[in-house]
Amino acid sequence: MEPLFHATPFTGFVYPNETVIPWSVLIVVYPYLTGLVAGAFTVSSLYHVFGMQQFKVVSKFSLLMALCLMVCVPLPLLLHLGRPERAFNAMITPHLTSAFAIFGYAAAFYVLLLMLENWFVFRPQLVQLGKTGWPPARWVFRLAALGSDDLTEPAMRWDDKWIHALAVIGIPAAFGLHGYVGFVFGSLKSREWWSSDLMPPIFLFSAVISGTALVVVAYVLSCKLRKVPLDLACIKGLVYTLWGFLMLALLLEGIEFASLVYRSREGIDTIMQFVTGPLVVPFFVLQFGIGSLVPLVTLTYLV
Amino acid sequence: MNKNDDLQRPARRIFLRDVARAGATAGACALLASGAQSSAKQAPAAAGSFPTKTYDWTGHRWAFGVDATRCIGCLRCVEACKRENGVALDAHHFRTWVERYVYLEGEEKPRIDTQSDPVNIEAAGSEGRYRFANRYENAKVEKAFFVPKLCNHCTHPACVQVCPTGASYKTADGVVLIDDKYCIGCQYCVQACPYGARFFNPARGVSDKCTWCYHRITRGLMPACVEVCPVGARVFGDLNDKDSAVSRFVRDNRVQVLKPETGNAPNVFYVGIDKEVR
Repeated sequence: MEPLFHATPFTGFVYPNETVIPWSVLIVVYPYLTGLVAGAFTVSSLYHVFGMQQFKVVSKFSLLMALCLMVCVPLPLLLHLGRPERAFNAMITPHLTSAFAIFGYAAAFYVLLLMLENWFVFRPQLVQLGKTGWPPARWVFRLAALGSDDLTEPAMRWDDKWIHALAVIGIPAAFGLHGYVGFVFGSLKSREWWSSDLMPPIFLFSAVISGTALVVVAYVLSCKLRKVPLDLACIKGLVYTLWGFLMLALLLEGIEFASLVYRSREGIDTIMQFVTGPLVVPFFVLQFGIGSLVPLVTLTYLV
Repeated sequence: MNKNDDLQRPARRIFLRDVARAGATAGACALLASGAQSSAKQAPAAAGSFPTKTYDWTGHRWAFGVDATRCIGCLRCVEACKRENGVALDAHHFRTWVERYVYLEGEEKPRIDTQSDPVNIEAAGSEGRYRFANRYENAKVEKAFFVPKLCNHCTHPACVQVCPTGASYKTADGVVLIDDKYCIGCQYCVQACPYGARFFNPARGVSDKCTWCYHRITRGLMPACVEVCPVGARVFGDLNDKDSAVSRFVRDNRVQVLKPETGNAPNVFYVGIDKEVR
C-alpha cells in the first residue's frame, strides 16, 4: 500500500501513521458485493414473498445471481488481510465485541440459505435436464438433484412452502447482513466522516438500488443474448423499485450530510477540507451527480 | 518483540499451557477459562506469578506521564523506540512521535508538523533519521511547544473492542498488546484508534503499536523512550506504587488526557498542552 504522502504532500496536519490508508479498494468492493447480494435477493423476494407477479420472470435469475455474488463476498476481505492464512482465527475465537467477528458466521449462514433456496427453485430444471441432457452433463444434473426427482403436484407444493419460508427468513438475513456492514463503518467513533447512526440504512437502501440495477442490466443483456423479447411489465416494476429506493437513499444521505454540517462538531473542519478538496470529484461529481441525480432524473422521466 | 515471546502471547494460551502441566483437575478449569479472557486474569492466585515466572501482572497498574513543557523536540525517543522495537525506518510507521505546534504572529491556528514532514526529513537527511528543521527561523513566533505522542493504553480501548479475533487484548497491568502470531491483519483496529497510534506492519502482515516496551517494564526497566529522554519529559511507572514517578506526576500536576470525549479513558497523562492538541 503506497502511502498517501507520496501522492499528495501534507496539507494540514495528520498523525504520522495516518499517511498510509489502512482500508483501500478491497474494503470498498466487499460492501458493494454484499449490497448487490442484498439487492438481488430483494428483487427475488418481491415475487417469492410479496407475490408481485411482474417479477416472476426475474425471480429465479436474481436468486441465482445473489448466490453467485455471495460466494465471492469473502474474497476481497480475504485478499485484504495481512495474514490471510489466519482468516479462520476470527471464526475459531470470535471476539464478540467486534463487528467483524460475526462476519464469517453471517456469510456462511447466508451462503447456505441461498444454496438451499436455489436448489428448491431450480430442482424441476435439474430433474428435467438429468433426464434429457447430453450424457456427461446429464450425470452432473442428476447428481445436483440429489436423487429427489419427484415432480408431482404435492411435491411441488412442498417445494413452494420451503421456497417461501427460506425467502421469508432470507429478507431479514440479507438486510441484517448488509445493515451490519454499514455498522462496521458507522460505529467507528474515530472517523468523523463515517461515524453515523444513519450508515446502516444508507447502506441498505443503496444495496437495494445497486442490486436492482444489476438485475435490470443483466436481465436485458440475457434477453438480447437469448434473443427473447423483454418483459416490459417486469422492467417497469424494477424501474419503480429503483426509483423509490433511490429517493430514500438520497434523502438519508442528504440528511446525514446536512446534519453533519449543521451540527458542526469539532471534526467538521477536517470534513469540509476533505469534501471541498480530494472528494469534490468522487463525492459530488461522481456519487451525487452522475451516480444519483442523473439516474433519478432519468428514472423520473421514465416513470 | 522477538526477545520475549511469552509476554506477547494472549493470556489464555499461556494459561492453558500452564494449567495442562498442572494436571487433570486444573485441565477441567482450562476448558471453562478458554472462552473468556477475564478468567485468565484470575489465574495467578493458583499458578503463582503470571504471565511469566518472575512477573505477576496483577500487582501493577502502569501509567505514562508527558510533561510537554519540558520537551525540546530532540527526537531521541523516536529513534530509541524505532531501534528497541525494530520499527520500520520510514516516515509512515511510528510507535511514538513528537508533534511541534507553532503559533505565528497574526495567525489564528498553529502550524503543526512532526518528524515525518518532508521539510523535516530533508533537514535530517533521510527518513531513518529524525530532526525538526529550523523552518521558522525568520518568522515571528508567538508561542511554540512540542508534544510527544504514543499509544494511550486506554482503559476502554476502541482498538481492542473492534478486534475480531482477540489478538488485541488488555493485560491485567493495564497495557494494550497485540499477539502478532494471532492477528489476521484486518486493520480494523488501525481505523478504530482515535489517536492514530496503531499502524499496519507490512513486513509481518499484522497491526503494530507501542507496548510501553512491555519486554522491558516486566523486567523492572523503563520504556526505551523514557530511558533516553534527556529532559525528563516522559515519565513512566506504577500507579499502585504511591512513590513512583508517575504517581507523583499525576498527584502533583493538573493532568489532562487527549480526546476525552471518545470515552476511551487514556492512561497517558499530559501536562502543558494547549487547546489545539488532540
